[in-house]
Amino acid sequence: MKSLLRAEGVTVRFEAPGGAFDARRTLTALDEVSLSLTEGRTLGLVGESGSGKSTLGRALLGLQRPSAGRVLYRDEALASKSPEALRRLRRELQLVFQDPYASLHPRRTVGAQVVEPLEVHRPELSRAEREAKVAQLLERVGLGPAHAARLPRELSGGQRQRVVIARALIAEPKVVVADEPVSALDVSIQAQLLNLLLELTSGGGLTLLLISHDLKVVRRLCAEVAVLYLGRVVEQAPTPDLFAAPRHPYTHALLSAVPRVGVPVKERVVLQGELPTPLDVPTGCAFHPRCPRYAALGEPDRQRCRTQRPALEGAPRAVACHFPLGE
Amino acid sequence: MSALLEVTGLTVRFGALAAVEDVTFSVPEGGTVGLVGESGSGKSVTALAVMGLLDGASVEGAVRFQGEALLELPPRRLQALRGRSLAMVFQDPGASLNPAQRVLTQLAEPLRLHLRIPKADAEARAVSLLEAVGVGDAARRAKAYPHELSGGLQQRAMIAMALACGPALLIADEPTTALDVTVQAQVMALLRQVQAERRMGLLLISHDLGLVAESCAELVVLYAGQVVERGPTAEVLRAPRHPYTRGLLASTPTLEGQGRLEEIPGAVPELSAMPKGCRFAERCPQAQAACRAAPVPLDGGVRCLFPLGGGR
Repeated sequence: MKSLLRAEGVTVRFEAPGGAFDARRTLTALDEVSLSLTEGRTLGLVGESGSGKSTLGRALLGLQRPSAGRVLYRDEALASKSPEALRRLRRELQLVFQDPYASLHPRRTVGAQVVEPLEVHRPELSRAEREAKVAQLLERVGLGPAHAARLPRELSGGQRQRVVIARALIAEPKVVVADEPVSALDVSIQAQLLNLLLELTSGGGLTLLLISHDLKVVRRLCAEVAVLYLGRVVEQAPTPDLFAAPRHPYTHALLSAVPRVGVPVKERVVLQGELPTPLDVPTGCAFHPRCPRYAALGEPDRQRCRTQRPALEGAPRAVACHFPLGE
Repeated sequence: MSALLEVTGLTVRFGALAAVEDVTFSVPEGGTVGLVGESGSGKSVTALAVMGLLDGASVEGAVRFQGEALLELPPRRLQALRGRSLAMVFQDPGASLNPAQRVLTQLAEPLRLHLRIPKADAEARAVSLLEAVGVGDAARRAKAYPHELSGGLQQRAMIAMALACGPALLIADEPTTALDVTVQAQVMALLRQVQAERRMGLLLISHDLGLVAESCAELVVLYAGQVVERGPTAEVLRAPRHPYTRGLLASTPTLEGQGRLEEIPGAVPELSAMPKGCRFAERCPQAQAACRAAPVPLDGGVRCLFPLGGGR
């Protein structure tokens, strides 16, 4: 299977402004992350707030420069591209945001906003050709041609998200990174949009990175899932395997925390404490202070978790844990 | 179990438009009732009406809380209740925390005012409340202003504040929607513990059927301002009778399945264009002419002329 877009050892650090008495501090949003998008497949990226999943999405699209490591598209490093080449690449790599309010211009019609990428990337098209494409795409995302003349505020939240998706797709991108594309929507509308994303990706022509905090959404759409914790991939596996038998204790806790119809609460692993700040990532395995497995270990083993960072190992199921579950 | 909160025939109008119509339910002492619905269902308006927090709306019906008729109470008495035995957590913590006051002050104040606890003790209790809702390094965080905390921390501070005076009833409107699942699990475990210890009643307003399923004995499903189905949660979710409840369940992704989800076509009707008959008819796979002809009454826990599983 061919890797279309991949991160190799990508680290992203931000300088956090210090307080009146604190020195400036460094926030490590991503720490040596390697991740590969296979052509035509959908990869899910899950993690809690602060895990670095949006930063990884932006780094993959070349919107966030890595402090170390590199991003390769069709085996060529983005960093080696000229600004002109990058601009052309932009057409092939698109981003869909969570909040359709924030990503649509309030006073421009839907049609004007959907056509915009074509004006930039396909200036050779005639006006009639562009309009035909807009009409075709609006229909493909479940809107009618009449919607082209409307303003964003005249649409429902679900319709606005369809517009955002149409705009991302109009220049026929190869890769779309969708960052929480359905989390702002009601359940019944969310189902409509998830089905739309399934349709759009089912032909194999589109490679999708679906970023979500919602494991149920990822389960529906993705062939493979990567779990991010404090800027590191802790587990990556084919979706059915990961959900049936998670190997990292964090993945296990994350899955068990999802409330489900018909499943009693008693079997839940409740994690103690909260996600540590990325300003002060714990040593060794970053998850050890909250890890139920660590808590059950004896001292020489615990020391290993505290001091040695586990590598992400194994294929097709990869886990970064010294004492993975099921062993 | 005696009813702690009894809401009967609650109707809320904004001008000529009814956002909530004839809503009836009750919360027993120590019990948990889930109010489920999507945007526009009227679930938040119901909560605000119960709390007496709707300005400019006309509210009809009866709300009884610990035997008192809330809708008829003088504002001062209602305010005293709200600080102490009747508490609410909102979805948006930014809107309910005072941006100009440290979290500690905001948490300690109700303890001093309503329970007359000395300042130092109130502050110590405030810190332990923060710890109880899973705020790490609580003593330091308590000294922060709301904007210095993440959304998740603000939300937890608000939950701590709502629980501070030991309310008899907590109305929680999407209390964990902004939180990560692991933190949500912590907060819900805490609420369950408080309920068990103090017999606190909980009205949980949520769009998340999974969350409601695991927390609530009783379930009320709202659609377009009306109760469309009501009953014991396990029963309603195992065998929903209203097509909307069924559609909502079927369109909710699970941790097991892959591929297409069942959809509910269309969207909730606008308040200004409410159909005369069944409000769900436009989106209902089994609607018939009779459904559109006249309003459908709530009968035997379901508002449907042709409920699933027959009967009626």
